[in-house]
Amino acid sequence: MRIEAKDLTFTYSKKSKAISNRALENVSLCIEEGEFFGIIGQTGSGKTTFVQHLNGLIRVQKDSGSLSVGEFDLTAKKCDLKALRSRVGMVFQYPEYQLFAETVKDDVAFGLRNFKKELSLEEEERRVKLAIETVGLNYEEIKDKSPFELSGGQKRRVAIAGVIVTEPEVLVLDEPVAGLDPVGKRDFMKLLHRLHASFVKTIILVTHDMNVVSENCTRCAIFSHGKIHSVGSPKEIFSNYEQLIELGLDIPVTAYLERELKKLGIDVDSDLTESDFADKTAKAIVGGKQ
Amino acid sequence: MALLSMEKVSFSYDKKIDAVKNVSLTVDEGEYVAIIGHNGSGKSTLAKLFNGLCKPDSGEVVVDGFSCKDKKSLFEIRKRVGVVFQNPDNQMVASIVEDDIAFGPENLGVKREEIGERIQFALASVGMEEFRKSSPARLSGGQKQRIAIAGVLAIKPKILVLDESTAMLDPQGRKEVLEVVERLNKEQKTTLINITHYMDEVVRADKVYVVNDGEIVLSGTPKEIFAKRELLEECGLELPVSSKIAQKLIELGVNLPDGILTKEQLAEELCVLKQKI
Repeated sequence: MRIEAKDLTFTYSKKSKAISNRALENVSLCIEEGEFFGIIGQTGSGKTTFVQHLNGLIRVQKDSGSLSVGEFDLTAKKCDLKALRSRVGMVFQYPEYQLFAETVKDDVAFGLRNFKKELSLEEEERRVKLAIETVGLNYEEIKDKSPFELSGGQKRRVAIAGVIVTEPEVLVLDEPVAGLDPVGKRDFMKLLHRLHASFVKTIILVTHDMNVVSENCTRCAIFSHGKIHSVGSPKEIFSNYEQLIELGLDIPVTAYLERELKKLGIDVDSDLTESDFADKTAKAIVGGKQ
Repeated sequence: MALLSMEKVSFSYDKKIDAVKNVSLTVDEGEYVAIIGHNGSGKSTLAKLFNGLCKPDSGEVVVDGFSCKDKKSLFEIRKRVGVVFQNPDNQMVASIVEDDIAFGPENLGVKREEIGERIQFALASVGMEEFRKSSPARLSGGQKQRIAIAGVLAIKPKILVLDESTAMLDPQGRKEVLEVVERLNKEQKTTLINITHYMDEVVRADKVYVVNDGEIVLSGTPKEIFAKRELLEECGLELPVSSKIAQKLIELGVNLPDGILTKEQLAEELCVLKQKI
């Protein structure tokens, strides 16, 4: 499903002049099917408001641009939101706080029961099992446990299982690795790549962690004050060091090092992933010696 | 004498599994201590033991001469140890920022005029002066966390404990908060205990404790800690990004020294190498 926003504008509390707050202004952005897309920007820059449009949690306001997700026209009054939401999965910040059911199995099945009422019990169980195993948990061990007796990392996995159980084509994640320890974070990113290689076609990741963007994303967009500041590959985006600092953003360690090396006359020109950077730098330095 | 000391402390939530096992540690006045460990390693329980939210099953916690064993000292301990927790939403008690910050000093019986000054000082410290009359509900997650920190600063604690308090902030917000607390540590000699799993926050600490399964498995300077890569990985941790890249470069035959912790150090070392070529 291709996502296309054109001049999307959104104002919170639009009717009250005193407290109205323009969160998005003329945002135009295309995300192609198959991308691993990063959305970055400071707190309050409109990232979350934008992604909440994608499955109709926030509706496009009148005369405020257009938005389409695959065949769904979100500007239209009669948009089948239910169908849309089963195909665009949304994982919020700290999704573990949204667990509510008595057992892991019921929690994960909740979305399925809402979106696909016609499923037989066997089929439901099969899908729930698959979702739980996909996020790397042992189904038999965990299915009858209360979600509240799990560890933080397990809870987050269960929450994700509850979203991917409907096999969405687009998966939107808002700060999914916040609060995870280094190994938890690494495993989680591996999980996203596994999903991306199976039924999830497009991943949209909202994050503050620039190293996550340079390691994983095909392209990314920078939001600033409700507008799109720039869109491009991590390489293109992070070459603009001064502007990013001005926006209060960081750059990945690899981009910083490339910039420093360039000052010394070494043009590493990697794709900014850690391994490519190390390979090319080693070649430039050790190779130069020989 | 240490400002805070833990002597063979064990604690269990359910009387079955120890969340903290036989932990001894000391924190000196003015020190910047980092505590790292994976999710569920027991490091947040340590924070709760520091200020008496949890009472040790065995062992003793002494803060500024007050022992946790003495019920009457609890108030004195909490006055001295301010903890900022993970989730700012759980720490807001009032509907206006200044009331929220006043909550701590009001409870301590601070005079009205002084409360005003403390609010001013606390908000200035976290760069949120303009939000004094705002409602916390209308702030972003990062801004809320800065208010939570201001609320603790208003108590003027001797020890400031951050329990993963920067996890939800954007890079700019994180930097600001760290600058604030590190400045307080340097200029006002506020003792700082930063519980985190951001490895790059650890590199500036004086002393680091690594917690795994409720036990302290390693302690030392950041440089000493990050020299033990395998042990850290066994504990669910890893090196700071810059150290990781340096390691990779060393493996690929680049002649870098050990112990690189920051991107600035790495850039400098690469610069030195380049000049040798």
